[in-house]
Amino acid sequence: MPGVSPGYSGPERPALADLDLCTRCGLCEQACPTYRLLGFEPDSPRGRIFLMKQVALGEAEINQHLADHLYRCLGCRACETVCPAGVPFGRLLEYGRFQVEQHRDLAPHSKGWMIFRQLAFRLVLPRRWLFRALMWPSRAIASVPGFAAAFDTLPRGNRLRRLVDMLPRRDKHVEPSASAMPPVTPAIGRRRAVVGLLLGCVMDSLFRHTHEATVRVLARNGCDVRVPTGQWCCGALNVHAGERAIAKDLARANIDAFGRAPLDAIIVNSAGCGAVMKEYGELLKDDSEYAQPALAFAARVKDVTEFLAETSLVSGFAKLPIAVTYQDACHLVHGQGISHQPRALLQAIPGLRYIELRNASQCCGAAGVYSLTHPHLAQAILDEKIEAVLETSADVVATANPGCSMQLQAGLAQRGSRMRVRHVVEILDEAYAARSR
Amino acid sequence: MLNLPFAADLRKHTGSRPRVRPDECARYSVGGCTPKLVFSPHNAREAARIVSALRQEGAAVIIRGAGTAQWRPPPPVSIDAVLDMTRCDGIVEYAPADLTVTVGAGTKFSDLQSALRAQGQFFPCDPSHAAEGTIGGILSGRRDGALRQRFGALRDNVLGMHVSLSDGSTAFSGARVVKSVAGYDIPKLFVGARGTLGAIADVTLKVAPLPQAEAGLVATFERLEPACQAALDVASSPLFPSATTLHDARSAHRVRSLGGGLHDGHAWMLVLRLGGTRGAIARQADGITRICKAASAAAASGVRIEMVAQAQVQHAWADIAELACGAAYSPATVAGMKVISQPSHVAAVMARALSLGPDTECTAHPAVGLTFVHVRADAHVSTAAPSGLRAFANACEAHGWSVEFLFAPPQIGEHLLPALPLRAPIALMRKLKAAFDPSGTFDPGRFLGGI
Amino acid sequence: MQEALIQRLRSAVGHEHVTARPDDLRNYAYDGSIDRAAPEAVVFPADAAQVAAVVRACEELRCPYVARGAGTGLSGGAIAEFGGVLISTARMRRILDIDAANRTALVEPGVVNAHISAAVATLGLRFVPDPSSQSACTIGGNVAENAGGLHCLAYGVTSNHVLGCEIVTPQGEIVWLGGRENETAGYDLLGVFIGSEGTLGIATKIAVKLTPQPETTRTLLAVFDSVDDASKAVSDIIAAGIIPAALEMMDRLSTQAIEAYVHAGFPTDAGAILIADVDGLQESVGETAAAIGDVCRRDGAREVRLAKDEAERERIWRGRKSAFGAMGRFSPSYYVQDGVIPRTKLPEVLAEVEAIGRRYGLLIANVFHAGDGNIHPLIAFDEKVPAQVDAAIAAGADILRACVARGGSISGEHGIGIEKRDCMNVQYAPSDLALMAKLKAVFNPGGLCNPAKMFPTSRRCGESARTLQRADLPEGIAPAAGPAF
Repeated sequence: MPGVSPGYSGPERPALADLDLCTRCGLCEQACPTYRLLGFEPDSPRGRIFLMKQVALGEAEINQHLADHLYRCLGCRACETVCPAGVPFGRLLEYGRFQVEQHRDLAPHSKGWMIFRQLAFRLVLPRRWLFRALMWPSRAIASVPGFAAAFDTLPRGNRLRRLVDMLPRRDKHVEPSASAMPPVTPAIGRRRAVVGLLLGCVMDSLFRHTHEATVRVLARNGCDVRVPTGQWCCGALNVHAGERAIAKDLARANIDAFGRAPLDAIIVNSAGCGAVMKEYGELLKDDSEYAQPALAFAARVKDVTEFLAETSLVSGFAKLPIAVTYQDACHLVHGQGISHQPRALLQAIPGLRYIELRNASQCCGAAGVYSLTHPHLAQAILDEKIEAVLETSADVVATANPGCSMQLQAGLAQRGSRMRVRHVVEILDEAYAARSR
Repeated sequence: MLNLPFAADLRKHTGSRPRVRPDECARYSVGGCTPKLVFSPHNAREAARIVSALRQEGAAVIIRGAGTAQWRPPPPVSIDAVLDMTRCDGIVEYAPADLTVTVGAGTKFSDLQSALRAQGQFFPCDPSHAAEGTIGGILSGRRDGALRQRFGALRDNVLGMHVSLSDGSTAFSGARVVKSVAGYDIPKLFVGARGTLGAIADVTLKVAPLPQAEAGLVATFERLEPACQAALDVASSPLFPSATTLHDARSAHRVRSLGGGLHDGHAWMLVLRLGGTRGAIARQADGITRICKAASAAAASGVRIEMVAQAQVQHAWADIAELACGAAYSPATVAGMKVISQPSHVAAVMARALSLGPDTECTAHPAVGLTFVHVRADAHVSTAAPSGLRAFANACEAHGWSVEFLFAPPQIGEHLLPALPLRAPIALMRKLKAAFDPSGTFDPGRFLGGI
Repeated sequence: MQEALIQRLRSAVGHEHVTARPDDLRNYAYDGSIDRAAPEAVVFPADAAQVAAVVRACEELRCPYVARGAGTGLSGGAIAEFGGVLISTARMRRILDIDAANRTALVEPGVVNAHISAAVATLGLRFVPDPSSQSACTIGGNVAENAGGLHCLAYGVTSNHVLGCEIVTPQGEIVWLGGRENETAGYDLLGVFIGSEGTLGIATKIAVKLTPQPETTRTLLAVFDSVDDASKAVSDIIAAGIIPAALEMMDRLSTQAIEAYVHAGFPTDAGAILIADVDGLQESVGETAAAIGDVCRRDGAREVRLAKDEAERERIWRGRKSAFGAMGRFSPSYYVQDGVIPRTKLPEVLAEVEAIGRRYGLLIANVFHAGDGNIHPLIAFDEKVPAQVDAAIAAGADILRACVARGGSISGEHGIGIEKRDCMNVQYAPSDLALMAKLKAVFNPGGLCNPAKMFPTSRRCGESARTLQRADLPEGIAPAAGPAF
């Protein structure tokens, strides 16, 4: 493309200082889902870092090869957890993809997908009304009983059926209310904190019941819960795809929306959103107006499980005699270092039998839009995950991210399993609710 | 074949004076075959010079330590010269805190052990002929004992060695420290090579501290299978005994200090040697007792268990070690064999071996998968014996077990060429021999596959 | 590369399992060492027959070939220095059989070391060799390098735990060395194959020995003000007749690097930290750990603590195993040495290492298997600065000379490969190397199987010899008619 240099351009690039941290020891290889699956060095964290470093050193150019392998990464950041040198892989990947995005001819995927992505990321995601309008059919399918069953006649591998399979199923006795989320929900009992809740895009459209459960659990634990207006999508999908400009707009909008309220914490119940919001400071570091507010905002962001585990939980649970296993969301365990908190919350519920999942911290293959961009790889990763999930014979698999929920839901549906997929906070909510009933 | 007149020339070339008098040479005979010349080099270089000169004369040379393995079949057809390594002896360097010792190959095993024991250490191996055997001979013959269960095999405890080769060169490989991967691990080739690649001149060994305390546990079983099962179960447990040996009734009778054998129909004796802190030994004994009882109960048969004190088990081990690689040849012996199998096959190996005849006795290291079979036949050493032994070896091969003949009188041994295991990479072994000893100077024709 | 060879490779392993795309090859130019050279093709065979077909094609068309596992090696063993074909074992990663009764398993070479222990854990067994890279490195690579690890002191190295290997010889034949029994008749070819750094053939199946898990393991951490005191404690522990399962030491610099990553609870102001693992039966472990603690205190340890639970144990060991990678926090590159010395010589050698660092103006951190006397000085440098590269290599060579001068070895577990081959002369005489060359010719007469590794070139030990690009095959390996590609 004319005007674009073959190397990195602009300040938002994989930093040599970050790349230099990698000593090529290879300890990341087996943590990487794509390397485990493909056994191909360019599809390993070390391989991708090496490719990015070669461009940084002028030994190679930005090309199709780099693009393919950066986009074949799930972005799960499992490599960061095992990296002894502390290579910030997630950051490198975002910048690497951003650089690739400057070379439109290197579009890593088919033309149809690129057009879809342009529409989705640039047109739809930034526009709340449009997004919600387009999500209407999914909501209808998910909320009208029997609607989903109509798709069961489609063959298992059918893409439409898979999409339907991915839609969240709700629990009978925690039906969401049809109305909008209340702007303020007062604490029950003594007030211990004032928090804001991020609604997000997908969560708000398809997982309203999770939000409602979150609000109830927070209120019961002494929180005034506010849902500021003017907030919207966190920008995670854009950041991961290397689309930083739109991501920054979204970030600024959210900072403005939450910035006005005096909040003790900004609660997120989607791991992917939380991980990106905690990095708003990095995203907006070159924005003279927003750099400081972004850092302050990021410092207040808490995953709901992180927040609840830090406050001592209000008792009042009923016995919940179910067997639960837990799948780590990548952007919670690897992105935010949160792993024992959700487990501790689950284990605090009386009667609940907690079963640790084999390789719980390995990615399920959802990875944002990955199951759309790389359906075969996503499926192979999912298959391995579902094997492990089924091994537990749990009643419920808990997680803390919408993408994981949808992916696991689809995987279980493919196997005809009756195991339910629930957010951790929904299970807490159920335990509280069972007591009040 | 060597011409004797060259002996004088040899002396000139090598600076070493060989023994040539037949009566002197007769003391260095191997398998009943007397050499024409006997050299006793003092170091690796001298040994290499001698061998090189002999090689140029086309001589066949046998490397000899104390001569304890001289009845290994087949016997040599003729021997031109013996390289007597017993003068390459003595401790070269011993650093107790480094757990290493370097000794001449001709050093007596028992002398080495005394020197180590004085520092609270030992070389963890319990070979047969421990009193007179040399380090070089024990390594060349790979005479592992049952202690390898806990302390590793001989090959695992050899760190480095100097060898003298038939081209007149000497070479060192491995290292003098406890760990090294610099270059090929050539010392491993010489362990078990029976002197067919070159002469070991000196060797560095990894030694171990003596256990704080020792004890023994003797379990006598009514039946073979539960005895073997108990041995396997113990080996798979975290109890880590030092050694396990299994004896049939005849073999058990030879372990004199353990009460002279069996009674009341308890025909199989399992001996476990225990070591460590006193607390650990008590636990080992307790755990092993439980395993033995469970194994015999599962087979609906009986077991009798007896603890043995430290002094007694150490004393008994002198007898047990001899049973492993074979009591010395006597006119009453037909053959001694070692059968290598998976540990879980030991019961089957023993059962088959005992079907060879009433004068057979078996000692096994069941945790490792080795069974030593001695066929004795006071009255009827017959010409049929070799074919019977061959048939046994073939039957073993069919089960995937391999058989090595350890000793036999010459008239039988000459029919017992080493069996060739099915999967042995014999072509590579021949190439190896050709590369290290191109003229076939060292002990030609008696190794695996006629190497 | 000849098109004819590419065709042969494709028919051997399938079209999609061969790549000769230059972009792909760039990622196969490196391993965990400092050398780099890209192959001309990478193949991904699925079994021994395919490996044999690849080897025969390479031999017939006179093309060098190198096997590669996970690429975590630290001596350049898997670098395709002369281009040619890189044979990846990434697709050969099945555990074929586990025999609990006989305590053995049969695995393919691409199986990750730690996955073996994970697969047999419920049987109460484990595969003992545990190099620090065990979560990533493959058993095939462990066999090639005779990998060691943290627990060799009591349990031995890879060669003590491998019963047999099915290999493809450079003649393209599939043969077994050893088997699944504890002993094999004839020459111990398995013994020399292990640690031959891929120069004698390619292992395609490996029968490993499994060991019962110890009933209890306790980990003890002792903090010393100086490396000398800690070294003395190491000698005194051994002298007391105690062989801990592992005995590791770290100096201040490496402790600081590790602590920044793992937060293992290592005091960063300590002169040296000693970690000891004691395993066995409950009855003896406590007693032995206490005895080690007494020795440490007597030798001046300012703090001795026992890990209170499994989580703390894991944190301590994760810290130790992260030492190499954690160096990335201090410097863009590091050059790790692997010398061995008699453990009684530790203090004087470490003093010399420090002096060498000063002489070259380089930061050198030390982590080592103190019980084995296997030292791992980590020389920090920047690979982008040529003068620093030269200095690091020269300093490394000086350290190795210091080890050999005290009766030690230039490599305890990482192998010689490209990195240390010019220092082989320091440790071995020409006649020693001649015997090794004879052995190599028995297996690999054409020299095309991992060419020129392990044996010295015309360079001197410590002369800047970093391989950064593909080289021409040396004389004697290249065919007289000229290169085939």
